[in-house]
Amino acid sequence: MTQIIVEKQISCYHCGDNCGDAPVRIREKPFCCNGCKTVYELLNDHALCGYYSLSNQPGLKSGTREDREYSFLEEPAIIDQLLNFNEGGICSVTWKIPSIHCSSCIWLLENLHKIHPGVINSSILFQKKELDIQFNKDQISLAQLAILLDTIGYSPEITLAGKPISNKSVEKTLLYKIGIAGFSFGNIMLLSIPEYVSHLGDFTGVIKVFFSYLSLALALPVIFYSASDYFISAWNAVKTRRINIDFPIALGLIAAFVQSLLEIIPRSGMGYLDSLTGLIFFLLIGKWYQQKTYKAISFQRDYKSFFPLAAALIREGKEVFIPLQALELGDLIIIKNQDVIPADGIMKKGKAKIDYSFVTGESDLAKKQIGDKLFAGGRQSGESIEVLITKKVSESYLTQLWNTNRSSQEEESGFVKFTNKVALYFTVAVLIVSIGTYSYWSVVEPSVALHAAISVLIIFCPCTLALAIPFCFGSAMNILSQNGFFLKNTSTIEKLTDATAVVFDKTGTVTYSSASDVELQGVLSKEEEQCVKSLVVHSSHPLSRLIAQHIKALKPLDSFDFEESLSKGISGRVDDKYLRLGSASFVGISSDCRLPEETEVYISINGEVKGRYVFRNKFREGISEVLLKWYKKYALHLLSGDNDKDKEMMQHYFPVANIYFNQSPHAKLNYIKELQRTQKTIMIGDGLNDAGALLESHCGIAVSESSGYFSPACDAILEAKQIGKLPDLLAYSKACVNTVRFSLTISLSYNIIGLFFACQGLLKPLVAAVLMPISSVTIVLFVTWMSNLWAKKYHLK
Amino acid sequence: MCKQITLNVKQNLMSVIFLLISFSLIVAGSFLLAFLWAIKDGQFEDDYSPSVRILYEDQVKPKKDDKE
Repeated sequence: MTQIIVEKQISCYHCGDNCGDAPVRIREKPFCCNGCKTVYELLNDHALCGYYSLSNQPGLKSGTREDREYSFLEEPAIIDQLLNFNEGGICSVTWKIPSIHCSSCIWLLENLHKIHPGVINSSILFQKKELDIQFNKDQISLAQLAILLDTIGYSPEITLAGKPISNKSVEKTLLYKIGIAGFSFGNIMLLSIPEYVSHLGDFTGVIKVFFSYLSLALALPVIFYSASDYFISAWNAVKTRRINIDFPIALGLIAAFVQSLLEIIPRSGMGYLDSLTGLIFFLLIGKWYQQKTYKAISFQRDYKSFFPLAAALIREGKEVFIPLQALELGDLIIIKNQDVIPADGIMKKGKAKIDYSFVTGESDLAKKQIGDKLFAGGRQSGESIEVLITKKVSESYLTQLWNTNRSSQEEESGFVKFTNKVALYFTVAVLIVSIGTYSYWSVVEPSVALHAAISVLIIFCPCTLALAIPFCFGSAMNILSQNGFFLKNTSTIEKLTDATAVVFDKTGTVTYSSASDVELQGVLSKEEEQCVKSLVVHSSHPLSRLIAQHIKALKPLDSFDFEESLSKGISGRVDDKYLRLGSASFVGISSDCRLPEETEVYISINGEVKGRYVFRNKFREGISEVLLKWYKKYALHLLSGDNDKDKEMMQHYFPVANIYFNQSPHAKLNYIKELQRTQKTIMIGDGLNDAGALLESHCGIAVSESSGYFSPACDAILEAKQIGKLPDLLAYSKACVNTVRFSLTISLSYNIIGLFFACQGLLKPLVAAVLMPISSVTIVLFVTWMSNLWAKKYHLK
Repeated sequence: MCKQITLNVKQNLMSVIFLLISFSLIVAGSFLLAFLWAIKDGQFEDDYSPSVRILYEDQVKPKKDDKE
């Protein structure tokens, strides 16, 4: 029994990682590293151990993160840019902290004041992963605050661009608009009921006038405030001569409003105010729903977030921190250990060992001498160096890589294009039909003419068209993000579905980035290893092959009595030794006391167990199924920055002609570019050294160990452990696109049927008023229901 | 005579309706104002952490007061 306990994985009390053989222990609690232990001690000292009781192993490993330099936060110019508020020593700052992920995080970060008395108050916005901190600057400086957060594992992501405040007001404005529209819609609906049931008794005179004017008063703020965005957008469309979907909507809204005025002012009717406000209310709700999904999964960051914010400049012999944007040609800057070089430059002093893995994927350090050229994006390790800047930040190699073809990324998506195109024809058609209706009726029956023409405008308003897309794609994105697949925007859904080729980056995507192939646990002499090799060369089992590759250097000897027992092991005689290689039971270890957690092969020589070979799973879990499923469906390609040692393994999954090794980021980018000419390509990579390729592809998916940590310029982020779901996720996206197509058809048929009656002047205000909200609501219900149904079908919910 | 009564009833009914509708609008309007205030106050910005935070209240509050 005791053996089982020893064999069981000990997980770190702080971060939950495997502690390995020698956990660091304090107060009976195991930790995987000193970093985790330090955080625990810090929390323990301040009586904050409730952190650990709220959820299991909530901590984040601090040892693996790179050391960050926060001294630039001492610079007044930078402080000014970051602070929201600074008065009488009390400051407030809002930082984005990507590692916020659970209720323990909320608890700890809102208890910062216990760790440091200088913090007055801290509060979290969970969905946005933002932390508002009020602090006393006499007791704790901004830099110290950042270091404090960093120590406990919550490194703030500091960017000078894009303070979160501006975003807030936009969201709030929309909520105000929805509130007002909903209020007016509800009340006008109540006031309109007598009109709907007027056949039951007379509804005339003062009451009717009172009701209609009250409705008008309630509708005014909705028209002029809540719906203002549609009018502004339509007006802009007119000005730029590019008709968008908002134009016919605005036209319909105006028509409905004018018609209502024409009925209310001569006291002849109630108008369409209820359906008008209802429509605006639903349109705004759709917009809000879309924004909400964006908010939860937004990850827009660019290359700047990888870069430092400030550089240490040498000015008159002193070290000064200046914001990166203020760097000039000819400036001399200091790059310290683990700093990223912000712009291309020339080495002036010191010894450089640059890690370009970020740019080229090459993990060997490049040694540079004084006078050598250094490229942006490299990370110095070792002593501080001085660099003379030769290119501005935005002109550097790395920036170029990221910015290549940026403009094409902002292209409108297929559906937006489609709806805008439809809207254009729609508008033209609506105008022609309504003018036609007007001129026809003014000849035949002048009293009906204006009503009929306006009815056409109202009923033809493509509002359902505008509702279907945000609702369907909004709920689709929601479901996808619940499954660890985060999309940049709705157009990504369409991009996912029409691709014909898929390009994989090998390291970090198909395989684990840090997997060692085979490891020998136990001791084998060289002679014994040679014997093992002599045996395994005869077996075609993949594990045998891997072992054979592992002991490549030794030559096999002659072996006798070779025997292979299927799915158990191999045995044979070499010289005077009798070897058995295989599962635990095959070599004679009783298997009931241990569960194999890894793929392993035991070795016994002359009946004595010598040790075992352990195989770490080189492939990501689930990826082989994905590749097999996609082998026929897509043209699969593999690009790798590594050498070709895994070529053989990859040939099982990729067509031989499509496997490329030793690819630099530039080569990857060019490969995608070439491929894109003939096919629409999905690029799946880890987003580190293939960011350019991700951007260049039709749809770039970055596979990330944790969605919070790393988000480069790409169209979608996929949590690494969800990679097996990829085919389902893509199939689901396809189903959603079809749902949208279908709902567009429905809404178009609504419009055409309505038009059929409206042209003939048959459409009573009552019918129009009922029909319009009904069509909107059915579309919304339909798409929401369908997207959930598909989610169930593909096991995403 | 009879006609006069119906007219009176009708007029009374009408004034009651005017009264009721103005009241209902005032009540509804106050709810609207409450909603707008709630938006302004930022109550819709984060719908997860308050639900968690309320469970910590006992531990957080007293300490907070000590510090301030």
